[in-house]
Amino acid sequence: MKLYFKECKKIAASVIYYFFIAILVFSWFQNFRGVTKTEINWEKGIPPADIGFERPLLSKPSEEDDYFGSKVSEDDPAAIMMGVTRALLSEYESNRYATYPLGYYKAITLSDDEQKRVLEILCEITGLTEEQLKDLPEDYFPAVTGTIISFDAMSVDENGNLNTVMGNRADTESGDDKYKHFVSQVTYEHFKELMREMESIIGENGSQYSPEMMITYFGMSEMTYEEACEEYNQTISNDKVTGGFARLFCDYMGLELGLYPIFLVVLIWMKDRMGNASELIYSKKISSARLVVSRYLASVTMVLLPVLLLSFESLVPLIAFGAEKGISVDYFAYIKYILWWLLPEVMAVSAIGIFFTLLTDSPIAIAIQFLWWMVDKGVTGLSGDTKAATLMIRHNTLRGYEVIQDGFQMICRNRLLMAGIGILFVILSIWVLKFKRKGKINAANIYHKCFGHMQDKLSFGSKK
Amino acid sequence: MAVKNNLILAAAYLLIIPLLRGIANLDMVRSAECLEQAVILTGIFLIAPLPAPEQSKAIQDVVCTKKIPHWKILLLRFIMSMLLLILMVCLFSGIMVWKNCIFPFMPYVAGTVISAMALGSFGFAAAIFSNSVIVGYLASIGYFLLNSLGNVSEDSIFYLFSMGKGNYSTKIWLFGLSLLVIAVVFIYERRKR
Repeated sequence: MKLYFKECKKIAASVIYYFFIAILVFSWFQNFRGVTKTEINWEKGIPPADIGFERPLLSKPSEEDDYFGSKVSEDDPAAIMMGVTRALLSEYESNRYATYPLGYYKAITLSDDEQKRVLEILCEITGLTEEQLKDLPEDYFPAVTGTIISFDAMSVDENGNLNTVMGNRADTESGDDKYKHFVSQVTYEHFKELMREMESIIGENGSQYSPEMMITYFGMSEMTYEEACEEYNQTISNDKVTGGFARLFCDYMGLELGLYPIFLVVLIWMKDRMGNASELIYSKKISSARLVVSRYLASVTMVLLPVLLLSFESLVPLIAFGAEKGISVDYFAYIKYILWWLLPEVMAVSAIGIFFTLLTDSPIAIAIQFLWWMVDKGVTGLSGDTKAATLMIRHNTLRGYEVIQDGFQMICRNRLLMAGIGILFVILSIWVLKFKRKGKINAANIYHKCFGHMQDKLSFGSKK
Repeated sequence: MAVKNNLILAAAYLLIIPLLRGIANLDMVRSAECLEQAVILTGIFLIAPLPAPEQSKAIQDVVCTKKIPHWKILLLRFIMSMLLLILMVCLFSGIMVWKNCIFPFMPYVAGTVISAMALGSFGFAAAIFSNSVIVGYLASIGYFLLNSLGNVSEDSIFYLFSMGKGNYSTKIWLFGLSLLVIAVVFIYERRKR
């Protein structure tokens, strides 16, 4: 315990810890600070400057309301088919198909034969010929279809703000003339089959023709009064007000904690080498397990400490809000979410940092973690996309209690795996340190065979 | 030697880029995205760890006894790294053009080199002032990610990805800031030794 506190103090006195806190606070300030206050003010009738497609989370919907918020669903297949067809036509014309296989843009160009098949698909969906597709009327598609917005739909108000004029869907739907307006000539089920074929023609994952992406891009529709009431009840009864805010907070913090702790951990262990103190530490009486575990726990604690403190900016106003409105609030939501959502992530990142630094005597762990972070961020959707090996759980919304509930089993498995990775790498680190102290593992000799080349590139020169 | 090691890392990183994202058939905006959001990271590999070889206490003691001042060695390394950075960005951009990407070659190369230099020089400064290359890496990667995650406004002079939006004036600011940071670092090093 004494060693643990000593290590905590050592971290608190290091420059890198303040760099870490500065980046964490800056990111929190830019993304999350003020979100709670904005929602509370909105409930009191002071709307935020940028409303978007949401409704106030904390105010009870009334049947007299003009707007009940938005949702992404498959409820309007006609709108989805229209949006996807418009996107397909545009990509066909430029022969450049956007895909995001690892979350980053990749353009695919098709061969003449493949383009011919795409044209056949387009003709089948629209019921038009190649010539007719080339010469479509200007208002064939409405001004706004999902994420595609025509320039015609944009207007600038007297304050210079850019506004979007929503398309008149009713007009389009009522017009059954396939030559004047888009009217799908295939059923939604067949349309999905055709899009699956499109996916295979493109040959990469993450195009807008995948079933999930079609809904994400073009499945936005307005909620009903009943749905808005259900959402409100979830926030008040199930989430006990604080749950949704805690999830969004953890989403932003998780992004930072998936990478930055590695710098702290690597420096703690590299410092021994840089100050030529490794041999001195190795010769001390203290056991390897005690040394590794103390440092590990100290780094995990010091990483989570500022996160815990930052959560008060949201928790305190929510407690006051609950007391004012007589609503029961979960005081421990933040701490619960931090412990089961963020702790396993920090455990895994820190343990990987210790292991690779001890093994290679180099900061190679930073490169490994950065690569993992980049790929993980790329392949994970903004919410409800947790897989077994996901490092950072994403839930970039104050809503969506049901998304977490639906995937709760997978999330639990994932967090257990992350915690397991953390524990496994700590055990391996203890083992490596033990052997290093006995002189059986020496990065300069044995690991030179495997990592030697890389280690030389990254080492701090003390061996030279 | 120090520059050669960094070069190997930067080259290895450039080879990974096509595995993560597309570098073919990109229009101007997407080409800028690729160069500014992926290729500029070579600046971190090439510039941020320049003081690495002397960060061990033992080596520092030896360096202090040498006739040639340490800042001159660092300056030489910096110039070499910048030349290598320009070369690598030119090469990568050339490959992109060959792969059917459409963008104005020279302005895009210049914009990419400036953003990479800004990233690297901030890390370089952090490494010198803290006497730790890891702090340097943290400063550079932190700066990059704050931009990448949308925490830096597009109007800010610290914004790294302005080229895709057709804004080159930010690049001039970034270039000026990088030169200023580098100048401060060398003045500090000269006085320290």
